[in-house]
Amino acid sequence: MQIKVKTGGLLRRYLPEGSGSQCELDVAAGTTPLAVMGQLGLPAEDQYLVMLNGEVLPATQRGEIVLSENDELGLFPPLKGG
Amino acid sequence: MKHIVIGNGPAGVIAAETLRRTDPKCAITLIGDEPEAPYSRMALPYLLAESINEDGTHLRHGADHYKELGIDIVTDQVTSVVPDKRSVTLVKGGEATFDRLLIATGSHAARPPIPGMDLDGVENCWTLEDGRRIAAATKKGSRVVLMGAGFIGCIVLEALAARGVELTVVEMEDRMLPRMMDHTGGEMIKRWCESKGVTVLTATKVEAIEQTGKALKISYGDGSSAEVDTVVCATGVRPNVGFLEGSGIETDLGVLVDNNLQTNKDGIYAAGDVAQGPELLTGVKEIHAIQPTASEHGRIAALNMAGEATHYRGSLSMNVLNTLGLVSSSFGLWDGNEGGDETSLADADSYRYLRLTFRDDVIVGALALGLTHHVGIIRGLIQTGVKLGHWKDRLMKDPNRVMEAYLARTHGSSFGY
Ligand SMILES: Cc1cc2nc3c(=O)[nH]c(=O)nc-3n(C[C@H](O)[C@H](O)[C@H](O)COP(=O)(O)OP(=O)(O)OC[C@H]3O[C@@H](n4cnc5c(N)ncnc54)[C@H](O)[C@@H]3O)c2cc1C
Repeated sequence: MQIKVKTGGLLRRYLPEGSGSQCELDVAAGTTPLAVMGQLGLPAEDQYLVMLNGEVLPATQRGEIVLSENDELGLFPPLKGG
Repeated sequence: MKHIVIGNGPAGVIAAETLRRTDPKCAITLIGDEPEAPYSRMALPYLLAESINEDGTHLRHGADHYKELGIDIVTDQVTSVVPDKRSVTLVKGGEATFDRLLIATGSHAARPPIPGMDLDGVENCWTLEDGRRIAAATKKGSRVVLMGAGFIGCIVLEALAARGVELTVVEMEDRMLPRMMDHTGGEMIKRWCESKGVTVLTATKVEAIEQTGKALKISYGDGSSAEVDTVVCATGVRPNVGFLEGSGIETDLGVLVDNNLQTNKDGIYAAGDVAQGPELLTGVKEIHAIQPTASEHGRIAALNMAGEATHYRGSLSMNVLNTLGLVSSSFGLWDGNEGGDETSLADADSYRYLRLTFRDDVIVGALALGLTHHVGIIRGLIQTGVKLGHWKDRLMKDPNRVMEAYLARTHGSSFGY
C-alpha cells in the first residue's frame, strides 16, 4: 500500500532521491511508523517529532499503531532553536 | 490559590511575576535546582566575553525583588509529580501541594556518545557553573575546539573568540548552522568566520577524545587529530522531562501543551524549553528552545493559571545571531512552504543574503544575512500575517524592498506606490 511521508529540515535526505520534502512511499500492509522510519534509514538513536495525519504521535505509540493506505506520516527534527 | 512553578529560568520567573500581577493574594512558590539566583543563559556569552559580571546574568536585580513580590524562592529539585494528589516530591523538602502547577524545567545540553566526553576539560556551555569553568580554563592563546556549529554553538563561538582563544569549530553536517541556514547562508558564515581567523571544519565527525598529559587529543573521522586544552560541546539540547515519568502527564519529546499551555492534566501547565506546544504557522506541536518563546509561554501560562483565560496563537521559530560581527537571522518556514513561492538574493562578496518564503501573499519564513534593519520588520510581517497584495510580486523581483513593503502594507502610507 502507499502512504505519504513528509519531512522537514535535515531529515529530507532520508527520502528517495529527488523527493524534496515529501514523497509517496510503498510499504507493507500492517506496518508501523517505527518500521517505516527504519525502512527510510533514520538513525534509531536520534529523537524525532513524528506526526500521523496531523497529530503528534508520542514515541510509545510509534511501534504499535498500524498504518493504513494514504496515511500521512510526518517526520521532523525534534526541536528548533537550541 | 496555591501555585507551584518548577524551574526558575525566564519562563518560570516571568510566570511567577505574571501570577502576582494578576492575583495579588495567591501563594507562589518558585522552585529551581541550580544553586544560583535566577539567571539568563543568554547572558553567559557576555560573561565569557567579560562584558558583564555574574550579577549581570541575573534575570532580576535587587536582593529583595522576589520577596517584595511575595514569591517564595526554593532551591531544591522536584523528583516527581502526582496530579491526582496535586503534589510534588522534592529531594530536600519532602512533599508540597498545589492548586495549579507550572512545569518550566527547561532543557539540558545533550552530549554525543563519543569516547572521552566525560574527561576533565570537556565542557558544556549551558549553566552559569559551566561558564565559570570555561572562563577559568581558557585565556588568550588557549587551544579550544568547539563541537557543534548550531545556534547555541555559534553564540558560544562568538564568546570564545572574544576571549582570544585559538579556535577550531567542528560541525558534523556539511555547513554551519545546518538547522537555521540553507547552504548559501551557511557557506557565507563559514567563509566569514575563516576570514576572522577561526578554523571551521564542516562535514567532520569527532571520533574520540583522549587525555595526553595535561592536554586532550581529539580525533576526527578522516583520521587526523589535534592536541587541545579545552573542548566545548554544543551539540544540541533535550527537554528536562525525566521526572514526569509515570505521572500520567503526556509527553512526546517535551511536555505536550494545548493553546492555553495546559497539559492533558487539568490545572497543570508547561512553558519554555520543556514545552512542546503549537507553532504559529502550522499548529504543529514543536519545541522552540529560545528565550522569546520561554517568555511568551511563561506569561500566557500564568494568565491561564490565574483564571484569565488566554488563548496562545503559537510560537514563531526565530533565531537572531551575531557571529563575529556578521548578523544572521532565520524565521518560521524559511526552508520553504508546500506550494508557496519563494525568492532570494545573494551577494557573496559583501556577505548579504535574503530569502523570503510565502504562503499566498503572506511571508511565512525568511533568512537574512548582513541585514540588521530587516529583523524586526520580517518578524512583524510573519507574526501579524500581513497580506502583501501586489507588493508580493515586487518582492519576488527584489526581496530587498521588504522594508518598503512593510511600510506600505502596515502604515497605509503611499510609499512606493
Ligand atoms: C550560551 C547560551 C546562549 C543562549 N542565547 C540565546 C539567544 O541569544 N537567544 C535565545 O532566544 N535563546 C538563547 N539561549 C536559549 C535560552 O537560554 C533558553 O531558551 C531559555 O533559557 C529557556 O528558558 P526556560 O525558562 O524554559 O528554561 P531554563 O532557562 O533552562 O530554566 C529552567 C530551570 O529549571 C531547573 N530545573 C530543571 N529541572 C528541575 C527540577 N526537576 N526541579 C527543579 N528545578 C529544575 C533548571 O536547572 C533551570 O535552572 C541561549 C542558551 C545558552 C546556553
